[in-house]
Amino acid sequence: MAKSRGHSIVEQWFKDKKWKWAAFQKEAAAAYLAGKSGLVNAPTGSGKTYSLWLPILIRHINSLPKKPLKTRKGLQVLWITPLRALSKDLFRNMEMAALEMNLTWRVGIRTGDTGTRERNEQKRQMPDALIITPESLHMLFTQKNASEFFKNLHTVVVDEWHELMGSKRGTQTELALARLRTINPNLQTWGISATIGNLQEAKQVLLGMQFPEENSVIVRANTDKKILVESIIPERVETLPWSGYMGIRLVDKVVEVVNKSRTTLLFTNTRSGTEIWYRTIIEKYPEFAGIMALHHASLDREIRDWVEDALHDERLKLVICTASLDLGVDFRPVDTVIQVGSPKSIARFVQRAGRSGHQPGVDSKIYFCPTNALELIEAVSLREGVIKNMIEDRPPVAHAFDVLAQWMITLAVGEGFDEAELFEEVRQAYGYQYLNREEWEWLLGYITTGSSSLTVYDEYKKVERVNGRYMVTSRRIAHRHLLSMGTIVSEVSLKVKLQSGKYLGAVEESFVTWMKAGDVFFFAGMSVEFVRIHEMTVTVKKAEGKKGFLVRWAGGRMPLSSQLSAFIRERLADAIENPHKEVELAKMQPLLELQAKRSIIPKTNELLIEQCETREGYHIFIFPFEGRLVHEGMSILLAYRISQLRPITFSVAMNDYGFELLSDQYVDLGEILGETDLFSTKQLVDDIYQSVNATEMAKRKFREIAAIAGLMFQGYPGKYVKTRQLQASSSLLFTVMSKYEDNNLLIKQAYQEVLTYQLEEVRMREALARIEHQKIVIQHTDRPTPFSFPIMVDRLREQLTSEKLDDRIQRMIKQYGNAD
Amino acid sequence: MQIEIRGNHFILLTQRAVFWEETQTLLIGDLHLGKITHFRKEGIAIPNNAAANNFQRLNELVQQTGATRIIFLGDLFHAQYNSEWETFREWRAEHHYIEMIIVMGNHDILPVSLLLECDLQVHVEDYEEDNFIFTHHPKVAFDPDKYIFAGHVHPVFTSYGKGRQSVRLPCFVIDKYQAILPSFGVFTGGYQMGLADDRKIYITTETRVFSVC
Repeated sequence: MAKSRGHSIVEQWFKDKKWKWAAFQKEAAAAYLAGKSGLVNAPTGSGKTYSLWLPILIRHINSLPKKPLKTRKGLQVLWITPLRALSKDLFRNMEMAALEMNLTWRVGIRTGDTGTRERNEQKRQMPDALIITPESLHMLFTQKNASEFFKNLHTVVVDEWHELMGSKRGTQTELALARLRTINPNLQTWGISATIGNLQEAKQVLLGMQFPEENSVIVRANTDKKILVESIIPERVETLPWSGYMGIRLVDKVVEVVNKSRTTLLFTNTRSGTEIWYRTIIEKYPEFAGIMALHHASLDREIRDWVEDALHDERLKLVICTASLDLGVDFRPVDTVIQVGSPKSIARFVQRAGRSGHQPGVDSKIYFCPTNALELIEAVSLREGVIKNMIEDRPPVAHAFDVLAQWMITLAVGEGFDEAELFEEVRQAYGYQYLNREEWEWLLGYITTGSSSLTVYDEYKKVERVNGRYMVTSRRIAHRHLLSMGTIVSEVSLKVKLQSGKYLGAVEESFVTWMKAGDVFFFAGMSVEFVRIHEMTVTVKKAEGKKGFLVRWAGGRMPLSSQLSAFIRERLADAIENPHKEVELAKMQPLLELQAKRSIIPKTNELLIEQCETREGYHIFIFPFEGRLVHEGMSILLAYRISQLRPITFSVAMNDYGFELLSDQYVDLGEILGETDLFSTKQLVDDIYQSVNATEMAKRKFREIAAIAGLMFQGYPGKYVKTRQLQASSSLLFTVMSKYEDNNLLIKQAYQEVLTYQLEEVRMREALARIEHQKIVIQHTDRPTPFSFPIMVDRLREQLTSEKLDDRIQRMIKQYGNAD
Repeated sequence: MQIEIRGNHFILLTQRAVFWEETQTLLIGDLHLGKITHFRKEGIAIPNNAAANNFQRLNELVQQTGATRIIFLGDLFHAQYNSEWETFREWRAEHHYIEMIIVMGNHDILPVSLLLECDLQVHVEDYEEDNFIFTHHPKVAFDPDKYIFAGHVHPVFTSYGKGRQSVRLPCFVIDKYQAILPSFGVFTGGYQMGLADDRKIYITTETRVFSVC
């Protein structure tokens, strides 16, 4: 095939830069230029941006007419990215390539950070390619002539699609794409995604329900690189483990690893974890001051930017971070990655391992630092999961009525919409393929009459029907909608700033409300003293040398993924028989032996239940190994089902491996299991609603739904007083709406989200179905076992202060320890 | 639930009001009428049939107790004038035989003339009778001879049970020199109260009033 002019220019550009086209880049280019849509599956740093940007430039070059056009064509390419921070890097790479090829193509950025001047510029003349976030894309649709912007749009690329897809921002993107496809039926849509378990589904979600399968492809970058997992093994391993104690003890070994490399990323699972590690290292190794930094979501944006730049320039030896550093376009790879504590998912582990060492041919290596003895099993399981490539799925969000309601108002603010046409268009989106007329009409009622009836009119004012089109006519309503658009709902947090004026970051309200002047706490890597709170800001001053509390965040912890838990169950069953296969298991021998002695190590076809009595009462421990969320639901479900047969109440506690039912009475479980199938999936949802405080859980989910659907008035910036009369908590809205409206879709959505996300209903069903085929083994133990001990400690952690807890744990270890 | 304060008898009612037996007076705090319509005007879809619940309970109270007088402890109407005020006027007219007093609260921004027109006795700060003071904002300094009834706070109390169960209910707070009434209105938020010395808290569901401490 004769090379087109575009191909020649791009190949010359490649030669000049001394780069080589990777196989997947050639494949993606060919597919794109043949008019197809699809997904490019490639990790960070592999050249994924160019895999699509270059063929886009080729197409542009080949389409240039002999004589340059008088007027510019306007927007032809949209590049959607989830993070504003990434847009700068993208812009640099994309524009540089165009400039170096002497093209007059202009690239622009449009995010929340874009200034007014730039926005007005874009309004007058759109650049040829626009890097944009899903929120800003929705904003464009609020313009009266939105379709005009997109009339020459021929390509949309969605970057980090795996990241967007699992959240409501993905649904937001789907709706915008459906609209863009209506405007241009020949639109080419491409996604760039890291490896997830459901890539085929991800492609379909991206392309919509009507896209012909034969016209789409998945291009995979070849990753021959092996990932080596090395555990940092402690000298001594407790036989009665509990979470959180071990990590810090290994600080010396961790620093050894850090000192051997030029740059290291140390990932922890929680923000407080990063602060603890930072403080521990700086106290023991003060030479790290200045070359070590923190990075997490509650630090001020400026601080994070500084750390990202310093990392880029290799000025930092160690960065201690959370998932906040998981995404990144052009971070130069670091030498070493250390993961502290189980990342709970194989995909996350692989992604982080991939950040280390990018020389071709060199394997990626990741160090695993356990935070308790049982996590050594997770290290082994992670290694296996990586080798077998059992990457978790990212399920897409479905039936998000709140996002749809917001979208409808967005379109009404802009060009307005015809409801029959929009209904059909919305159903093209994967997440709304099952939307029915009833639900649609409820939404229409919600936005026009503020009720489920389309005919009742009162003072409610939002969207109106004007000549058959749905439009927002009031400028005030339009303005207010613009202020509340988006799907990212932030926690109520207070900003923390030094007296000198520098902002450190944000902490949750509950952490500071009890503080008084003089209290010292550790945050953003330094000791600070509380001075005062005024409105939403906490003022502090440096308190060097003083030791204080560590900041705690209430954020939920990720549960063990089902893929990882399957490996753990297998390895445990195997561990006693094949003890020396891996060094981690060899180290765990004393613990495993104690477990086998006092109870058993369950085989994969067994469900272990332990019953024992202590001063606290009668304990029942059940070990499904299904992750803490499923265990939370299952524990309450079982407590309820047992209480239907015997007059008894339980307190419950759980971790990723199992759960505990504690009561002041003995229960003969063997007898109960003979009377009823405790683990039945029959009437599961009914029983869940009876047992769980579903209303409280739904209220919490509703907070986000209310904000997205426009029920929470966010207020005009700077106008504090006037909004007082419109302030109502989402909890109050929930109470009133659920009581006085029967079929409110937003309330229904809240309950559904509780089932899907909080209780992981699907996973719970699968677990219960698996248990149906397992042999239930009840062990009566005279003391708690290595498996049950950590659950007991987690329960006490919620009740006791940390000093009392430490005391209590020491006493328990003495009492239940080795002396059999 | 009947309690005694300074030799007088007060019944704490599940409709979230207090009935003063000696003077056959209903004490009602923080009605916030018009709040739902206010929100709806601004495009926030609170169901409008919820507003009827306020009048349903007012009617129940009036019938149940046979009250001849009502004292509103402030925040009767939530914001600027809207159609809910007309509903209140009609209700007031139906109950013309009941004396109605209002002590102004921070949300009461309707012109006083409208209140007077509605045949309400208006008190801007406090209303005193015998040894009792009726006001909107709870006070911080006390005269041991007087007992204060206030609103404004919208007190709620959360009780915890086993297995992470909890329930949050409106409550009556009876302190040594002051009582705080729960908010009466159907669409009002709540402020979590704590325990204190010399404090009695009574929580209420729709069917019963319980003494907490």
